[in-house]
Amino acid sequence: MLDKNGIIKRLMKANSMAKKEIEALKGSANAGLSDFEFHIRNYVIYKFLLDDESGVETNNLNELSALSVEKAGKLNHNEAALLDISRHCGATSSSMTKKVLLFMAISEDFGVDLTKYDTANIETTDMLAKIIFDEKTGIENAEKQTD
Amino acid sequence: MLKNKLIDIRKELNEFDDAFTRYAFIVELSAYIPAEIPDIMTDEYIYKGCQSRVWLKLTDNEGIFNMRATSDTLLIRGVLYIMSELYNGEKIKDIAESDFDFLKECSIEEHFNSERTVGIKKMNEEIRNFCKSCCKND
Repeated sequence: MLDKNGIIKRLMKANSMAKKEIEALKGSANAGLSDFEFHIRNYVIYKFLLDDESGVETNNLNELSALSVEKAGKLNHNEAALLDISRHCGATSSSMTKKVLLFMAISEDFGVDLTKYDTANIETTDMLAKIIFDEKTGIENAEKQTD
Repeated sequence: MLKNKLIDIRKELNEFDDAFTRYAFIVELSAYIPAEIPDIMTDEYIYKGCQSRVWLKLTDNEGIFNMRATSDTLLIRGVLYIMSELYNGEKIKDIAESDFDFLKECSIEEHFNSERTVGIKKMNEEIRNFCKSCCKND
């Protein structure tokens, strides 16, 4: 039985938790790379609705995205491989699209431009954190020089 | 009322302020359309015109529309869920006379590539044409 309001509330709550991870970083003037790695992994876990899943240890974005699609579609791993995308077309799978949309969301939330990076090569949450850390540090340094 | 349902669906989808969450919502809805519906997954009901495989069984129940559908693609099942929610139980005449752009009205056009967009638009047209032909037969 579909509990659509439950789904909406769940998505809203996850979004709000993800935003808190960003605020934690934005609110800390001395946040280092390890802080970015920690909070950005948490951000991704919330966005992918995997926060209530035990045993999710991977940092791999493709794996996390695939897990989120499996969970959403209430599929097991084998079913997901078969049912995420038609075998009769060359369209992008839901998990790949989710990864791309995640990058768009994180760019907007952090105010950084990820379009200059080849997102296909950003494989882990740590790699993503490093890019955002470098971007933020670069922006802040540029602002300091202007002052 | 078809128009009111459309407003409700749009309102629901617009609760989310980013494309990621709207997309996640559609994928969540896909779980409520079974991947296997053996009695409609036949050549008779296969819908040609979509990148994915879609089976559509459309019926006219004394002037009231009903659709049963599934697809071999998760995301499309999410779209089919929204279409079923919108159209099922509505008057055939109202659907036949409708002229809105389903994807645009539901604010989900941005989530699909151009081929998928065309496929979904055609699917919506198929439903409308079915309803038009039912009206002609009356």
